[in-house]
Amino acid sequence: MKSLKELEEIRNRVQKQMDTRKTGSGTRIVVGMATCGISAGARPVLKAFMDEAAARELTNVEIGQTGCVGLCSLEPIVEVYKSGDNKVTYGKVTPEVARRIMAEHIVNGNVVNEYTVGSLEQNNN
Amino acid sequence: MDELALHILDIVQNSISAGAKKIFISISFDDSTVKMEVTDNGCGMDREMINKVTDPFTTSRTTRKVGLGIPLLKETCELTGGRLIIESQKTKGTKISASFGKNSFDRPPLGNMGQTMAALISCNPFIDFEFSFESKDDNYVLATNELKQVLGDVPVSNPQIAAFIERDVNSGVQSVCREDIL
Repeated sequence: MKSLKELEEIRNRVQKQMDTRKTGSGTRIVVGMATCGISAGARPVLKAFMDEAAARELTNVEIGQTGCVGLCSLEPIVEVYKSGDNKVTYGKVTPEVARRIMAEHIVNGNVVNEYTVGSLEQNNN
Repeated sequence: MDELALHILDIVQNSISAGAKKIFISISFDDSTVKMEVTDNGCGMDREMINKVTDPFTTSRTTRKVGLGIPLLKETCELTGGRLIIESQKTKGTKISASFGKNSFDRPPLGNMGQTMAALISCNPFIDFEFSFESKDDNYVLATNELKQVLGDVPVSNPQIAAFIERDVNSGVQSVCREDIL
């Protein structure tokens, strides 16, 4: 590790945020990270979610990964679990789309309909 | 895959699926070769499975019958004049060693290793990762247990920590290596 001091500063900052924002129900964002997802660009998508969560100081959002869900042609795939809502699965997610999902769906509660796997599959047919 | 760092992100998923609690990732290079090793303490494989994993029609998944991670890595190694070696012992763990001809036209660049480590560590906060990057006379190491000691009750999966990991690894890698393997 190169910058121990910087890490300590970030820790202190995050600790303060954790103290002030303990309320609110959680959201889980899961990015497909199998070979198909990674080669389609899942890593920058995951990074876009992380950066947005960091910039918005969201402490009740958990970001994780999963394997291949069997829809390789629609990768990168992202699943969003909001407590109390049904799971929403997005396909062909780019970092820009990820930032939209964060703003419109995670924060404001409106599903980004054009990128759900349901509507992507409909448009393919 | 157009980065070595993406191959690493991909094959480490095998270690995660194998239930590993400790994963060591090391990259080293000299004038002619880039070496990449992933060592885990997961469930390991028996001899029969080791012989089969480089076949794309072998996978431990039950949802479908193909697995491309290892075959893709093997192809890249061999295209550059290097090779892929898999050592494994059932219940003990697995070690994947990949070598690449450093000056081969077909060798992908190292790529964004910081983003790979940030993705791995923040998505798998309960696994201990250690990453080392070595040249002949310098090295950089990042270990999650060191991070966790500093972080205390702040989870290593916090998005602001992910951004730190990416920056630290990339600047560490750059300080060890100013050449264009990156």
